[in-house]
Amino acid sequence: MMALVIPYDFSRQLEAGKPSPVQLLVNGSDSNTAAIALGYVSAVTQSYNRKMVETELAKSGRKLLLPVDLRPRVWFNPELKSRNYIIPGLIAVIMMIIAALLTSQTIAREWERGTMEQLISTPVSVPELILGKLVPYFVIALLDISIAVAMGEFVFAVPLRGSILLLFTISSIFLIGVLGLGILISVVTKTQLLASQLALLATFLPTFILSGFIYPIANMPVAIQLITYLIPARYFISILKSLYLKGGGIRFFWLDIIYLLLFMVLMIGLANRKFTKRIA
Amino acid sequence: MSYSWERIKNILIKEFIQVLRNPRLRLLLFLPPLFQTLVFGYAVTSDVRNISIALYDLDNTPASRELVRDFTYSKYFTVKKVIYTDREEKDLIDHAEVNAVLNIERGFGRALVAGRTAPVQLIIDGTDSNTAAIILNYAGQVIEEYSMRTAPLELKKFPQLDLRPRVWFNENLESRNFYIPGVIALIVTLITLLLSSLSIVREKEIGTIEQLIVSPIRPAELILGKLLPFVLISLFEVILVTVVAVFWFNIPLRGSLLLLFGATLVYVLTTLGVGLFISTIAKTQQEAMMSVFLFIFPAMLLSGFVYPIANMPVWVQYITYLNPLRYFLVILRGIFLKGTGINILWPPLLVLLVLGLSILYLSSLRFKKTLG
Repeated sequence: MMALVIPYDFSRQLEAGKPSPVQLLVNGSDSNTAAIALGYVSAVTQSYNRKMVETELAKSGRKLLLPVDLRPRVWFNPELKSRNYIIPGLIAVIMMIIAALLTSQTIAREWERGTMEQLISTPVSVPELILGKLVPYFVIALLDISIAVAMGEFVFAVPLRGSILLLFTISSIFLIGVLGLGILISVVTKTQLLASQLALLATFLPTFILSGFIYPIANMPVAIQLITYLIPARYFISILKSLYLKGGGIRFFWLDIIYLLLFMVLMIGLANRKFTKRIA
Repeated sequence: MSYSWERIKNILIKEFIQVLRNPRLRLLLFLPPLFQTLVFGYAVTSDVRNISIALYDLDNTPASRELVRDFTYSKYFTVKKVIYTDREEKDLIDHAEVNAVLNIERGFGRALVAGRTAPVQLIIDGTDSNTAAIILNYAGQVIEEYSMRTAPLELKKFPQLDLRPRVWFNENLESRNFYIPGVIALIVTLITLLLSSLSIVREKEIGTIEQLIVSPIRPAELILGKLLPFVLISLFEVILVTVVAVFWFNIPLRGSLLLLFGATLVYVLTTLGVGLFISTIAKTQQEAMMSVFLFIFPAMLLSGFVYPIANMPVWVQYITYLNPLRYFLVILRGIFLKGTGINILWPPLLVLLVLGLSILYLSSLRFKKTLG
């Protein structure tokens, strides 16, 4: 990771009261790790410098008094545990994967196998069909969320400071939207291979990267930041983090909930409209 | 009965036609790699810039205003709001409108003039632990500089350690130089796994596999014919991402292009092996796809693609040795950023080769059994 180069005349320079250069060679391949390592090293340098000043002053019986003393206080996650940051968002990622990927296959499969024609000839209506395709996956996904919440609570001890009822209510809204998205993909593509590729493209990457799950949206270029407003997981993840770590209630994220409701209505509506009971 | 290149060729051509005849599927061989490269190039940045802070200066003396100015003009912080009450402070952080609040208590200036240590409080939203740690670090630097400037003159006369860092391979610490070579691995893994496992399972699902069984084609020929097209497609993806990386994002490609292709060929042995294995256990394409995911998710997280392996618990680190993606990433970053050649990269290549051949061999055995 790093190499510290101390020149041969290092201590002589210091004793002579001159600034002593020390070289640090850093492997920058992983820019993030490198930046953090640089931060640590400069902290070590600072404290070394301070200690030198302190020993100098101690010789003449004085004490170092630093003018300003920074007292940081970290709220919500005082130990700066990254798991507290990752696990709430993971619920959204799991839901996206389970719900959208699974449902994206359901209708495409009927087309591929030819069973769609049988379905078309039955009196079942489109909303009934969508509901029938939706409910099993809704139940499965809710079960998955419960597992994730329980794991977060009992295995990883991530604090859930907000209301668990609210968590499940909002999750259900998001879930129905995502299931609708999966069905929409399935209806449009009609082959499973295509559907799976499209579902991956539409769900996995945006949820992982453009939602603020790991990478803070504020650090992205403005054009990309604008795109993130179109990613439903963005709203859901910010709700989840607020619910978990800040113990926030509806008054903190009612706007996000409205976006999620919009997403849900839009997806179900579109799936319903695009689903034609006709042999094309 | 001997192996016949003719039969392999027929399967191969059929696979190509099947993948490429669907115009939407054709598009999906281009679009996802492009999309993913662009997203990783632009959106994935762990560089924390423009930390938004609020100022809560209760002191409002020349000294406190100077400190505020230091924060304002440092390249890290952007002052978004100036507030006057505790309530605002709590609200701003609760709503995540700012990352931190700089809180200067009354009496700050007086303490400085009197030669006492003056406390300054910084409230940080710790939700995102990584950003919070970086904010702590930057704020410490600003305060330290301020401290040294306002320190009594005699303090400045002491000898100082002068740190001169030099960063190699990625001099400007650009996140994208780190991530984009990894995108190649991600895309190759995804495409080869999905295409290979789904294409075989589809034959099962539709029932055409039975026709293949009664035909004179041998299992090994079938496997070769099925998998070879995806090898070529994955090479094509590597070229596509490399072109975008080098010409669009200016990612340095310091090593040999030939080695890059060679390493990809060795790597896809493992993913195609896993794909073949999945196709033997999955009965439907839906099952196959979920299995692909079950593989790719941990493989990605435990590869060092985003999270450094050295930071993981030791037992997890041992698991990563079984992860082919881990070795491929080392090779990719070596070739792109460090320009290392085969003289340094042979150990991971060898591990990949051994892993790949054994996975492929075991999956083929299983595949033959399930065919029979």
